[in-house]
Amino acid sequence: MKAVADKLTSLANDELDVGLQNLYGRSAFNRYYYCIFLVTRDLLREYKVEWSKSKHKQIPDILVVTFKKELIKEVKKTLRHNLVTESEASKAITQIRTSTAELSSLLIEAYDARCIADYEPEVLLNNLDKNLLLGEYKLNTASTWPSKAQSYCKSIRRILKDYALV
Amino acid sequence: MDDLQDYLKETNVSFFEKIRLRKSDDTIILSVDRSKVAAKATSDMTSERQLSNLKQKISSKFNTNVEIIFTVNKAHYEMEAGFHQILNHKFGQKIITFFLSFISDNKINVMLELDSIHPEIKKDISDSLQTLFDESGFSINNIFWIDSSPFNLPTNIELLRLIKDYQPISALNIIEKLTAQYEIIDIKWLNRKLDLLRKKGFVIRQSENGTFVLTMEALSLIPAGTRRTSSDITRALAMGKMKW
Repeated sequence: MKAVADKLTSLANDELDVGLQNLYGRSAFNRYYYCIFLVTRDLLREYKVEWSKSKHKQIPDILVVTFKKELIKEVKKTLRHNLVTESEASKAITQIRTSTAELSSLLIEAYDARCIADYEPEVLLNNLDKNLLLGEYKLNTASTWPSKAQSYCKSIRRILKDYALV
Repeated sequence: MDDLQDYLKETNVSFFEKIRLRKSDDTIILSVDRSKVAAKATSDMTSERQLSNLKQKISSKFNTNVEIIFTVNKAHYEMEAGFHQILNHKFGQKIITFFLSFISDNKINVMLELDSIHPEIKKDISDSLQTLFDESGFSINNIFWIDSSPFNLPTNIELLRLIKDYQPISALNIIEKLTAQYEIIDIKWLNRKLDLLRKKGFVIRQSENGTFVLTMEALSLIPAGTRRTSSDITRALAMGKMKW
């Protein structure tokens, strides 16, 4: 998915025809969103299979509400049994809070960009000093979404593994 | 949208950069600059809690969905790229991921991933980061190491889960199972860990053959459930493969 998005970004950057540039660019936004959506859904599915059927708009909330609460509860349980130190548990909890919040924010932002790309054709891609923009969203920034999402997922997976949750 | 603007004015909310309606799903999008978010709300700053409450209030008052989007200014993006380059220059391109999350205007979480071969440079990188941020007027809230290095060691709870799956199991068999994931496990380290878990009352060493089994307390704290990766399921699958 990322390879497709990167190719579309490269086509948009090189395209001289404004109409075609608009089409390539907005499709790239769509693919970047789907890339991080799928990465996140895979993470949630590893933890709870039923979450793999969640709607797009539910996933950011699942991350910062149910998923976060369940992970923190497990860390606290492990701390109560003295299997980790206070400092290890506190670090894990901060890591859970930060990674789920960041991933959730990223999904909300990317979903918004994807909605503009797919459903608001009147909003055209702008070329501002060689930076392609759709509304407020820069295509260059969107190209960093997949690696950011993967890093947050990796950080959460580490907690899942350390606390024997998968 | 005018009603919403009036409502925000009435409630003295002035920190949203932009307010718009996403027509495709009738969702109100409120954009707020990350630098306006602090731990506690003040007259010109907001907090995560205040935003969450506002989101709920607006949603119920206007009977519509509301999403809050955090924006990060250009200088922050440039700072992230700049620091990544400085650190990679200093540490020989060993940092493969470097992200900054701005908790507030000057408080930052750092997320880092190294190529797995050089875990020993973590402290040097932390010290350099601390200096860089201090000089730039920022404070580091936390540094998170995204670590998939085989040089890590299993946690206590991971060891207990492994024992649950294969009990009764000898220390040598535990080593065998762990070496697939961890390169530097040795029997001395494992024996020390098992002894500690025994003293804490989580495992019992069976005197007749030296194998380890879990106590009831350990069984009660290992995460279980009905999901595919649950320890109850992996235990059942492991028992199916055991030779008795």
